[in-house]
Amino acid sequence: MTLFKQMAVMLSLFLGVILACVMVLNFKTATAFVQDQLYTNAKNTAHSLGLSLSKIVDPNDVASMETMINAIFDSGYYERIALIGVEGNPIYVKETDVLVSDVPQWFINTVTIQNAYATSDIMMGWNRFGTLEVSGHTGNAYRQLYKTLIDLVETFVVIGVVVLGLLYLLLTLSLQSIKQIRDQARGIIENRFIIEPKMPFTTEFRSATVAMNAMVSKVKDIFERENETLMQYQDLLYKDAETKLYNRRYLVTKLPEYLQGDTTLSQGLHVMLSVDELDRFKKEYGYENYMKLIKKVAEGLSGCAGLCENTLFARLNESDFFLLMPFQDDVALKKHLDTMLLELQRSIDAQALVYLVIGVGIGVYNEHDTIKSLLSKADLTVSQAKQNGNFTCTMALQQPHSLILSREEWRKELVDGLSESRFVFATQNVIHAQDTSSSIVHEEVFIRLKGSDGFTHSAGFFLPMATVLGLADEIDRYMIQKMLQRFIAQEMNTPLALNLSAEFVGHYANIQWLKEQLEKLSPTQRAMLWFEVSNTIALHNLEAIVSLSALLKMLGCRFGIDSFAIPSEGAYYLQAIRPDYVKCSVVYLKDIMLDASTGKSQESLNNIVRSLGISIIATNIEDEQDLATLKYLGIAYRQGRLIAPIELLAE
Amino acid sequence: MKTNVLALCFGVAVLTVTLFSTAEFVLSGISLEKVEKEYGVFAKKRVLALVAMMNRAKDESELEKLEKVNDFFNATPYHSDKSVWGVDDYWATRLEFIGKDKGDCEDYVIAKYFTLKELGVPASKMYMTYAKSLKFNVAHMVLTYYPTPKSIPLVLDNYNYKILPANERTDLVPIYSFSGDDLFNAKQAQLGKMLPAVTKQTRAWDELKIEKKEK
Repeated sequence: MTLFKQMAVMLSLFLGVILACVMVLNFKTATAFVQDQLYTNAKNTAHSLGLSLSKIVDPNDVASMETMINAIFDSGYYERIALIGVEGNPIYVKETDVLVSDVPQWFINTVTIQNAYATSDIMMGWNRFGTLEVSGHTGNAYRQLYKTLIDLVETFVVIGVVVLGLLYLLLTLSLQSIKQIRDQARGIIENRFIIEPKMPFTTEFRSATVAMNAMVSKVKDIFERENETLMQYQDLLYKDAETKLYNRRYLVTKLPEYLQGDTTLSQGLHVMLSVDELDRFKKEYGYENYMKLIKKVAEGLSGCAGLCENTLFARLNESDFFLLMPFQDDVALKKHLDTMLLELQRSIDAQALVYLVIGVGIGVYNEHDTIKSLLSKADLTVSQAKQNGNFTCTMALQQPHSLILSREEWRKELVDGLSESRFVFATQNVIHAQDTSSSIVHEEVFIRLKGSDGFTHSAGFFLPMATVLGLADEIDRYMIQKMLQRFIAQEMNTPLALNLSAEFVGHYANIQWLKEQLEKLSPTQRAMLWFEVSNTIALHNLEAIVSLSALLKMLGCRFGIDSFAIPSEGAYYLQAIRPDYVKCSVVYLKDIMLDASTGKSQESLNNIVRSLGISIIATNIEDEQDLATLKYLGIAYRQGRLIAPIELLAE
Repeated sequence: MKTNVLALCFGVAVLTVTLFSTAEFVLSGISLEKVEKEYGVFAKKRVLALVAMMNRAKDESELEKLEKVNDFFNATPYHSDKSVWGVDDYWATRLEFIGKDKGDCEDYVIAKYFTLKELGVPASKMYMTYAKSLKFNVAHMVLTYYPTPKSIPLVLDNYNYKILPANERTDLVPIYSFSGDDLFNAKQAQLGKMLPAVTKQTRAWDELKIEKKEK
C-alpha cells in the first residue's frame, strides 16, 4: 500500500469518525430538543386547556368540556387527551393511532421518542373536578427528527466531500516530493540523472531531496568521467590529430557495417581526395599554411558529407581523404566537389600550384565490395583524376545492378512486391555462449525481395531505392505485419528482432500504428518481439528513438541498437535511449578493447554499458580468431556467419 | 366487626410508633454555619426555631401540623418581590424566605408546602392554588389542603392567618391549582423565576433539607 493511500485512508477514517461523531451528537441534541418540545407542548396544552376547563362553572356541562378538548385535539398535535374524574373514572377521552406515512419504519424503530405525558388538575371553584391528561403526537416529532436527520446527512456529505477533496489535494501536493525522490532513485537505477530544482515545502522531504540531489550529482559525475575517458580514447584511437576527422582505423572498423548485404547503407558512392607534394608545401610555406590548406580541404569535404546523413568521412593519411556515402545522386555530388575544388584552387598561392596536385575520384560501391576492393577502386579513380588534370574530379561509375531500372520501374517493382507478397524473410540466430553450451537469444530478421527477374535479392539491393522513393516504412509495416501473423499463427519460442528504417521511426503515424499492432498481442507474445535501429538512425532521430524505446519497454518488447560505435559526442545518447542491447561488429570491439594505448577504454565502455544495463552483442563473427578474442573479452552474446548462417524462413 | 378489630390494631400500632419513636428532625441540606455566614445569626436562629417547631409537630395530627406550620411562617413579615429581590416576581426557596425573613404570597406557600411535606403530609393532598383576592384586588396564591379528593379544601393563607374551609373564604376567587410535585418536579420549572444574576438553571428547592434522623 502506498504512503499516499495509507495517509489518505487514515485521514479519511479520522475525518469520517469526527464527522460521524459530530453528526451523532447533533442528532442526539436534536432528539433531546424534539423530546423536550413534545413535553413542553403537552405541558402547556395541559395547563392552558386545564385553565379553560376550570372556567366552566357547571360540573355537568360535559358538552362544553368535550368541545374544548376537541378544538385542541383536532389540531393534530396530540395522541391522546383525556379528562379523568377525581375517582379515576374517564369523563372524556380523545385518542388517535400514530401513523407516520412519510417517515420510514426503520427510523421509528431505531430512534426512541418517549411519549411526553403531562397532566393538569381541573378545579370547579374550590372543588377538584379531575385531571386532564395530554400526550403529544410522536408522529410529528418523528417527522421533524427525520427531516433533521436527512438535512444533517446531506450537509455532512457535502462537508465530507469538500474536506476530503481538499485533503487529497493537500496530500497530493505534500507527497509529490516523495514521488520526486522515488523518481530520482529510479532514475539512478536506470542511469537517468534527475536533479530536482524544486525544493519541497516539508522539512523532512526537503532534506531528503537535498541528499538525493547530492547523490545524483555524484553518480552523474562518475558517469560523465567514464564518458570523458571513453571519448578521449576514441579521439586517440579514431581521430586524426590535425583535423579531428576520423582516421583510417575508424574507417576500417566501420566499413563492414556498410558493406553487408542487409542494410540501406550497402550501396552508394565513394569519394577520395588526394593531395600530392604536401611535404614540399609544408617546407616552403610553413606549418601554419599547411594546416590552413588541410583545414580548407576538410571543410570542403565536410560540406559534401552533409549531402547524406550516413556519410562515413575519414582522413586515411596525411594526404588522402575518403568519403563513403550511401547516396545515389552523383550529379549533385560532382557539382559540389567541382565548386569546392575551384575555391580551393583560388585560395592556393600560384607558386604552390606548380607542384601541388589535388585530385578527386568518385566511384560507386555496393554490398559485394570488400574493404580492400573499395580502397583500391578509390585509389584508381583518384589516380585517373590526377591524370585528367590538376584540381579535377573524375567519376568512375560502373553501373551497379540497382541502377539498371529507372525510378518509376523501381517504384513498380517495390509496390508490386508488396501487393504480391514477394517479400520474404530470412533469420540469423544470435546466441548466448556459456562454458559448455549456448542458447539462442533471438533471431534477427532480414527481408529479401523475390525480384521480377526471378532472383532473390537482399535488402542492400532494394532498400536504398525504397528509401529514395519513400517506400521504406511501407516495407517495414509489411515486415511487422507478416511477423505478427506468424506470432498469431504459431507458438514462438525464440524472440525475433526486427530492424526498423529511419523513415519508419521518423513518422509518428508509424509509431502509433506499431503501438496499435502490439497492443493486440498478449504480454507473453510481446516479450518475443524485439526491435532494432542502426546507430546512425539512433543518433539522427534521437527524440523519436527515445520515445520509441520507452514505448516498446512499456509494452514489454525489447529494443536494441545495431552497428553500434561510440560517436564523437560520447555515450550520452545511450543514456537517453537506454536500449536493452547494442550490436557491435567484432572488428570494432577488438579494436577498442584490445588496443594497448587505450587500456582504459575497455573498462570505460564496459562501465557505461553495464551501468546502463545494456548487453553487448558481437556481430560479423567470421573466424575462430574472433571467437577467441570474444572469449578473452568476456563477450558472450554473439552473431555472425561462423555462429549461425542466415536462413530463409519457411513461408 | 372485622373492621373494628383492624382499626383497633392500626390504632395501637400508630400509638406504639408515636410513643416509642425516637426519630427527630435535624437540619441536613446545609450547615448552620453556612446559613449564618450567608444570612446572619438571626437567620440561624430562625432555622433552629423551624426545626424545633417541626419536632414539636411531628407526632401531631395533620390538622395540628397545618396549624403549626401556618402560624410559624405567617409570623414572617410580608414584602413584595420588588423590595426584597429587586424583580417583579421571584419565587424564593424556603431557605431564602427564612434567611431574608420576608417574602410575598408564593414564598409563604412554598415554605409551608415543603415543611408540611417533610412532616409527612402527602403531597397529593396539597395544592398551590392561584386565586384572586377580592379584598386587595390582586393576584394571590394560597396553599389548599384536601383531606379527601372530593372534599372542600382548607386554605392556608398569609393574608388571613386562620385556616378556613375554602367556601368560607368569600374574599378569594379560585382560578387554578397545581399539585406541588407537578410544579417542582417539572424540568423547565421556574426558569422565568430566576434572579437575573443567578446562573444556575435548576432551583435547589430543597437546599434547606430537614430530615428525620434516629437520635
